[in-house]
Amino acid sequence: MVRFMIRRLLAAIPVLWIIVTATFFLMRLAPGGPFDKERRVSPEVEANLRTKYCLDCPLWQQYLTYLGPLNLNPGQGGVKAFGGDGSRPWSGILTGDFGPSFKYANRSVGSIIAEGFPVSIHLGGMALLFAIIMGMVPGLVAALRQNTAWDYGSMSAAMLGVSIPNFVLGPLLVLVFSLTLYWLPPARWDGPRYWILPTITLGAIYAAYIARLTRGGMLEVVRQDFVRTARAKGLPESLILWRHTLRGGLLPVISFLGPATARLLTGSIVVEKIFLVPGLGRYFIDGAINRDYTLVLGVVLFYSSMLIMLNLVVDILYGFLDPRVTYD
Amino acid sequence: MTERMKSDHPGQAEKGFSLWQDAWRRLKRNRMAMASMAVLGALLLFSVFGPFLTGHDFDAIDLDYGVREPNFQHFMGTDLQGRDLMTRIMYGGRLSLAVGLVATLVSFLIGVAYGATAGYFGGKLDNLMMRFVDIMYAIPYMFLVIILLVFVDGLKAKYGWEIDTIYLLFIALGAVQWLTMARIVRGQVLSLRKKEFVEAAHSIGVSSMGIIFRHLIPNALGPIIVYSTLTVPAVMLEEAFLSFLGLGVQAPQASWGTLIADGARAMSVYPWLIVFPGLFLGATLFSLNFLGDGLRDALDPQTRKV
Amino acid sequence: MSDQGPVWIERVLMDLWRRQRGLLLSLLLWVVLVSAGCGSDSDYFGKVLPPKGQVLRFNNGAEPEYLDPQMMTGQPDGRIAWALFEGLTSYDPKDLTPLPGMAESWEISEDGRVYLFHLRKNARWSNGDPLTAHDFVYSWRRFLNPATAAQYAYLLFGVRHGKAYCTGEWIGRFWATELRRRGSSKPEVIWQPATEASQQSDKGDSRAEITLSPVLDAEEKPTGVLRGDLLLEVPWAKGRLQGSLEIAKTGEATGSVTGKWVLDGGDPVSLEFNVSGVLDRNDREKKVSGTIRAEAGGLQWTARLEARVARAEDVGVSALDDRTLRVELDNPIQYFLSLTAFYPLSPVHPATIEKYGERWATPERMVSNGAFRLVEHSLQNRIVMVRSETYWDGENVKLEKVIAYPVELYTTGCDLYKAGEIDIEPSNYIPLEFIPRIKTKKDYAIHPYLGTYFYRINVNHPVLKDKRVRRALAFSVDREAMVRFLRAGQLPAWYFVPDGIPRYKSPRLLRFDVKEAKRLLAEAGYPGGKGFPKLSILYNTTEQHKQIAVIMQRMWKKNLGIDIGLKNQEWKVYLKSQRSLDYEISRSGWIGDYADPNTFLDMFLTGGGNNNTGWSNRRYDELIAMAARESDPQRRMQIFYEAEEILMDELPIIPLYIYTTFYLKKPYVRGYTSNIQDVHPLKYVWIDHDWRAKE
Repeated sequence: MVRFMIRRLLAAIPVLWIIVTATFFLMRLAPGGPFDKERRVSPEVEANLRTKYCLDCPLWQQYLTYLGPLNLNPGQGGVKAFGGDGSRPWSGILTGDFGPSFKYANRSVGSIIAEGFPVSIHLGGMALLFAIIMGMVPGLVAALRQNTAWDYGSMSAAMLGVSIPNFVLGPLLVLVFSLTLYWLPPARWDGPRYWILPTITLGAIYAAYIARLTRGGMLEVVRQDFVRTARAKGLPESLILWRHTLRGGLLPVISFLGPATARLLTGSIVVEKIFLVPGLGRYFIDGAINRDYTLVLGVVLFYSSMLIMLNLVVDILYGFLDPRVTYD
Repeated sequence: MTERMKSDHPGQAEKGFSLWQDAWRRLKRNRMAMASMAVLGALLLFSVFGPFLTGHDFDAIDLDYGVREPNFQHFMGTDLQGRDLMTRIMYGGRLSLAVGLVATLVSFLIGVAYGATAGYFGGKLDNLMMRFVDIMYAIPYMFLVIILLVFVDGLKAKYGWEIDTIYLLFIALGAVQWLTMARIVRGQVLSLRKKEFVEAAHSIGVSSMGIIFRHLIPNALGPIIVYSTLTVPAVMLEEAFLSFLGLGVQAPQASWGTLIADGARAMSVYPWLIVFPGLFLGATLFSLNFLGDGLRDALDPQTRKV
Repeated sequence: MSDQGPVWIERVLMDLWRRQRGLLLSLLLWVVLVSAGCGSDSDYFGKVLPPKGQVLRFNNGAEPEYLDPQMMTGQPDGRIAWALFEGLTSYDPKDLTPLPGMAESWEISEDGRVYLFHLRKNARWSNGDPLTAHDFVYSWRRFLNPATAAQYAYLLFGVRHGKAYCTGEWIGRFWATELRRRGSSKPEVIWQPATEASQQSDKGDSRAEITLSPVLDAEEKPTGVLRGDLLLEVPWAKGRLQGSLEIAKTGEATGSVTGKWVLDGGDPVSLEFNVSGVLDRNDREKKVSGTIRAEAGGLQWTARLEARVARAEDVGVSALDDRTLRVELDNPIQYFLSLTAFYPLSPVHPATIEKYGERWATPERMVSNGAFRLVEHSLQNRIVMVRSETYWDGENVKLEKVIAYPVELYTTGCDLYKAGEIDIEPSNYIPLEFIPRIKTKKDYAIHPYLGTYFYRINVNHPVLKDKRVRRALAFSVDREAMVRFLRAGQLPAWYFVPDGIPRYKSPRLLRFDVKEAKRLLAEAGYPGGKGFPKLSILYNTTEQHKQIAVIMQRMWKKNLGIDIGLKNQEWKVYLKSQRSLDYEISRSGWIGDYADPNTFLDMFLTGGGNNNTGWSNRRYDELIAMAARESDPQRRMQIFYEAEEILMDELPIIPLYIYTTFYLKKPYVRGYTSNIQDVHPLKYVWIDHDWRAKE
């Protein structure tokens, strides 16, 4: 197991490298740059900006500079912008410095992530918890009481959850709980009262997916031979459930949860914008829209590391839940 | 439902009854599923032929008439520019249904084949294939779409090709939706491949392809179908985001996704702008869901064995 | 628990679900509809509950990109900048006329080119340091410094050598060696130094010219020239020598052309100009030299010219002492005192910047001079400012605390406002859909705005090249219907420069005339729209641009019978398409930087960075250049009028409507007044806890 983990973590390095490289060049292929605005900057000023961020060097040089720590032509043409805390020139991601943000020039990408991530984890964690509880419980109930009102009720709720996108659910919740009943604040991120609506909005669709997948997975397993055997042996239902059914039945949920957790923990632009949550999620889209190259690379790198870690966790859980899965 | 079907179906399917024929016969007995199919068919008819019957154009603006609640002229009201919402929903349905079904099919085909292959062979190949999935997950999708658009625009300018953006839409949507599907299928196959019936098939010399497609995938079909039915709405809504980037529907046309996105803004003022497109999307989902359940039951090899 | 319980509930629920499904769903729908419709009968939009104490909470619209006043550009940046910093002058909140700011008084020279600002004795930084004229010199030089790369730097291009320093142009100094009568061998007077000259090219090439060639007249224009003005002040001729200078870029090392220059109302002057050498934008030490010979009225003048790339100390801003700032302009700028109130011209604290470099604008580090100081900046969350104890007018500032939230979604902003979580939802951050519901509320306000929404036309396009087609397109737009649709009091744009600029009234050449439009289109070869190619409107994806494009498409279809397609692009792709003229018709908007026609009209100079239409008109260029030199305000406006007439006759753009500002403000917020530039100095704002009594 340990060897397996080490192997996977080592394999993550080329994966991350490919992601960074592909993202870097893809971004540069897209038209427009970080300093294009409606009001055009004068050509001289633009030239100054480009020099500052080394945007006028050949692409491969910029790429190597981004990776660091080899700055190919220090002195001239190198990056004059400052990374990290702004006290020393930017040295590239290999040194752990994600560089300066193009858009929020007052901040480094590292500090933007450091500021946004705790909030995203907080919201994402709560939403994940909400999704798992609100997904698995009805999903299990629905599976165990197939074709009953419980089943129809929870599955209809799940379908509603899937069919109401978060950009509708959020405003709907606000409309009811904030603007009509005046129970909860409509937005902002200032304390428990403020956390409730974003958590539900973010978690609802995942809860719905989990409910559906749980039910589907459980039904699949319930019919399988070993469960039937167990039942035939006269084992108590609860034991069958916990020992046998759950393990196999949750496999699809687990594989869904890997990427879903990564996505939940890195935030969602829709929920963050609707509820003014200062999380990370917005930067995936906003960074791309602003062509904030370093910020996009930073969050992508961050997200993919998380994704890889969580997928590894999922694969380990697989081995734990299903003894037939082996890693060789 | 399943109980009933079990008793109806004795024995192994004979030669001549393929898996699909067999499944179809069983599906026909599932009333919920058949009703869902009828609803879907009705939605399809509504979208395809409805516009000829409403007496309104989908793009006929009437600024002075403006936004109105549902009334006898406009059964579902009008939007801000005075356009008949029902006609717009019909037109939108054409696109949304096509996109939802085709892109889901694409993701289904790619995802299932990919995931099953990775899961079945395991080891290095699995590792390699799954790392590729990780990479695809992480690369910012928006840039892929923008570059695709720019590339196609370039082709247009250079060679005068006219490519309907709807095909691009299928590509762009299908290209990402298969990823989670692949992971789910792989997980299923990973746990199934050491099972007795697979070993048995192996020992009697069934080829890998045969094992994957005849034995593994049918056994993993439950979660696959569930996830597919979940993909449809995801795709329909994703389309609204892509049309923001310039891919997909161009104004004045609309899709359910863009209608819902527009309606969400006005939710507290003109609720019908969101309620009606939402109902159509919802109806599609519910029917697909029941149809999916029915299909799953019909295709389930476990029920056949009895 | 026995088995009975769940089974019983199950049965009931199932029953209910089976029988009453329709009822349940319609109940749900009803709840939604009712909750949506209610709460609309009070005088105000949502809760009206003043915050405790003197606290103002407002939606700032977005996260500011910078908190460094010289780098800031957008509106969200501006709202913060104006609270934290103050320039030499400040705005009157009602009509934006300049009031004393850091400067308590000023003197303007007779020709309007030299300003002497007298700073306040009690002008202080938030850390207690006295604020001096030297701080302004430092700040303005920093603002113009190319390494700062300030985007608004062009605002100070009118200051002597401001542009040269910022863009790395050369400036020259004439060393007049002698002046003699023709034929005479004895020089009569010798000056040293005599005057200055500067290069004003508009190309960002770092290699400055090798040969400069004043040209006789337009016909003899050499190919591939840069154009610019050469301003010479020649003491012996009692006047200023003005003319258009064409600078050839031949690539040769030396060369010279002679030309004649006409004095304003004086004798013709012949000028021989000869400079050689290569200047490097990045090398501000290197010098090149040449000679210049001029002849007029029987006098001969010979001078030596020494040129180098402009340096910070060349910029015409200097501190005569700690409290006196001298600013020298190239030409009189009528709106200069308004410019000095604009936030990019605010001072920054030199010691802080020297210490921290780029990242100085954080709550811990920032030293500011405005009515408020920064205490918290949490990205995408909020900016908190409190009253500054060191501000000169601090006793008249009533607000103790200001909180700005960067709410990007209009609906979220309105929700926060409705729930009473913010006190001001700023201009234009209200979705179109909301307007009918709030327009009768007492806390909703509309005011004209200095901005125009228009469509650009690519005049290089083979069809749109034809002026008649452009006119047909412009005349067939029903602007009245358009603004009725927009609902927020926008005005139909029958001209380009919006109303509200002092002393200026735009020519009204446009009208809604379908007959004329049809006639023009037929004349251009497309009777009834037949044979008209399928053009498309390019817009960046936002709801409002989409709605307007759809309306335009319909209007053109209905009125001209032509099919116009729509094409939306993501923001940066759209900018790129517009800049590379990769469009046919493109949605645009422009907000004036200052209340003067120039901020609108100089956009369409030939090859201008924001022209983006391919349009070029020599007379137009001349007029805009003339206006820049004109010192008489009345005549200057007349010139602009003439220029706008050309623009509205040629129509490389189709103006659609004049913007308004429309915003929500709780009734207890006082001192927040509407004005044409949507600027609201927070030092005058306060919370009135007894507002109800005054209703």
